[in-house]
Amino acid sequence: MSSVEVRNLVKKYGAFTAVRDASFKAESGSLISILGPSGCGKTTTLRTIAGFEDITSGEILLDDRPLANTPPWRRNIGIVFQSYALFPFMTVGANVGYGLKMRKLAKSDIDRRTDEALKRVGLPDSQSKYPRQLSGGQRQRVALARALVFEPDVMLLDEPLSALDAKLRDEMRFELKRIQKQSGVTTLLVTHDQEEAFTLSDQIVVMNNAIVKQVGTPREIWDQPGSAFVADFIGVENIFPAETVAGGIEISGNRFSAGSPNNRPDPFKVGFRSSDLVLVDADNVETENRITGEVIGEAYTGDSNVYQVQTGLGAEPVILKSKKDQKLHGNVHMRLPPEKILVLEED
Amino acid sequence: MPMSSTQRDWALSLPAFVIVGLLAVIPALMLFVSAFTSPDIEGFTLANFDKLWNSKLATQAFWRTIRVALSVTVITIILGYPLAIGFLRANARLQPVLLTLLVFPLMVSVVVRAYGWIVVLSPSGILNQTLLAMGLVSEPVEILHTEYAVILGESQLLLPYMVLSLIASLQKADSNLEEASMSLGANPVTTFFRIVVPVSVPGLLTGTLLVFALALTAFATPLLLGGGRTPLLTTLIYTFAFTTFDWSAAAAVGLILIVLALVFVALQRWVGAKVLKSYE
Ligand SMILES: Nc1ncnc2c1ncn2[C@@H]1O[C@H](COP(=O)(O)OP(=O)(O)OP(=O)(O)O)[C@@H](O)[C@H]1O
Ligand SMILES: [Mg+2]
Repeated sequence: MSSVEVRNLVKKYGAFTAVRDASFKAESGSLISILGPSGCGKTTTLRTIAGFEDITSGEILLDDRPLANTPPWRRNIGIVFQSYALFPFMTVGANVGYGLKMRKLAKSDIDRRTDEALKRVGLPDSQSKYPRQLSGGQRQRVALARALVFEPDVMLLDEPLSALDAKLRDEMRFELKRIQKQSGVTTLLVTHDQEEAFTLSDQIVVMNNAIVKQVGTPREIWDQPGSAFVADFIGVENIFPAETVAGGIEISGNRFSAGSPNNRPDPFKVGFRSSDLVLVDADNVETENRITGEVIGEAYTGDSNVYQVQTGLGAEPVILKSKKDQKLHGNVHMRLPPEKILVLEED
Repeated sequence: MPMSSTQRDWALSLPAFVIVGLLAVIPALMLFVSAFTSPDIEGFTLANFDKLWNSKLATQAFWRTIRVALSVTVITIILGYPLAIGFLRANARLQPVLLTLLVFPLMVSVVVRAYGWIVVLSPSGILNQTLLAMGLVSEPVEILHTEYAVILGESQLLLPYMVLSLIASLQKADSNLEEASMSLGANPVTTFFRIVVPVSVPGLLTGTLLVFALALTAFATPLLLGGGRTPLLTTLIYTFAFTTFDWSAAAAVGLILIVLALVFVALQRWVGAKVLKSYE
């Protein structure tokens, strides 16, 4: 196991910058994910670590050892591609054993370790099948076994679950976590699915437009998204521009008391989750942090009702979540607890 | 009673059968008959084949034909891989241009291209002039009207078929296979032989069949670049038919050529069946 560190990584394709000054570190044995929307440079970052792309500037370190002059085939990094890239003309056994064969292990060792690896991913007795005879989920497991069997220092996963249907994806998510923990391999996972990143990772690197926006534990990112982009991306529904005034903040002229005024960037935005809004009665005397508005739209999501409420905070409606049996219409009154207000950098 | 659908199918395809029968089967039968008959002998005979067997010219042409077809196939394979891989690696905007360059020679008459080679290879041609000027040789090298000239000309002629077949099969493969192989510890050379070649086997088989069959039956190129001194089976047929007017001998050579082609097709199918089991 090794740690992987990316330092000030820049990758340009001609005049186009795909990754701009990215820095993060995956501690030995941890799982770190790169989370971001399509085209933000996630795969590019992964490919530079694998050695498939030259880097324009910066450094990639494996256990503090620079990788610059190590070609891909000597990096000892296991990769699971989004398409799995299983060798179609080889049996499952040959696919998994390929990395061991390249390392010139004895045939008996190759067979034994291939069997072990396939057992570990829950596919014993499939050595002699061909990839085309497997389901999507099984192929994914073979790809995982192939990337792990030679005990790589690092494993890279590029959207490993995106080709699976929703149910299988949830199942494989737990499998992936279990296998990663068991093997203890340092893992870098690329995904655009925030739920995947939050459930699997020790650390999350949020990227947008070639830039690393935030690095932190899932808890840190959930509780303190640093910027409007990160907040929006992890599903904070309500984001409004705001400014600091005596004793609090103001959103479009509406005063709110909020946490400490320290460390507020300038200019800044505030965000709050739909589920953090508290419904209050119209005749409630407590008027601090009150938001009043009119319901203009509603949607039912299974375990809750989601409402769009037109308020004085801005042109964008406020999104409010209520319990399933609580029907709202007309004017509604909400309270925004000060501790639930997220202060966000504008981007 | 209305016709059943099978009856209708037969009725509809009848004209095609008749035409194909007239155009292909009957000449083949006639070829067959004249190969086994001789004007001097009653009934069927192997005399024509016997004559060929004892003719040094004919046996030489036989082996030369196989040699040339095999050489051309091997050369187009060796040149085909770098070209196909280069094409697939090329910038997406460049690919249509490269494809045109690749296919364009197919639109130029074989005869014109053979004359092109004559201009290059003849004793007073560009190649020899250059070699002489550089002092590499003291007198012109004889390439034109040798087997080498034929191999050279046909290789250039048939290369596009091989490249296109290889491109077709390589294009279908997952573009990450090579990277997967390298990440597993295989260097580029190992990756080429263990991954790229196996992935391209279907295209390689198609390309080999095309190139070998076309090389076997090529006529204009061996005639113009090989000349009378280095006959191949095809040019031998021509000589028998139009110079010595020995139609029976010509038919016998033609039959040998057909058998050669069929043997090769059978071989190709057999290898294909063995190898492709683990594909599709
Ligand atoms: N070989 C290349 N040449 C030029 N531009 C490229 C190349 N590879 C990627 N890019 C560009 O770099 C940017 C980042 O691409 P990348 O594949 O890293 O995105 P991503 O974050 O993985 O997106 P997705 O979630 O869609 O896979 C994209 O705008 C892409 O067009
Ligand atoms: Mg990607």
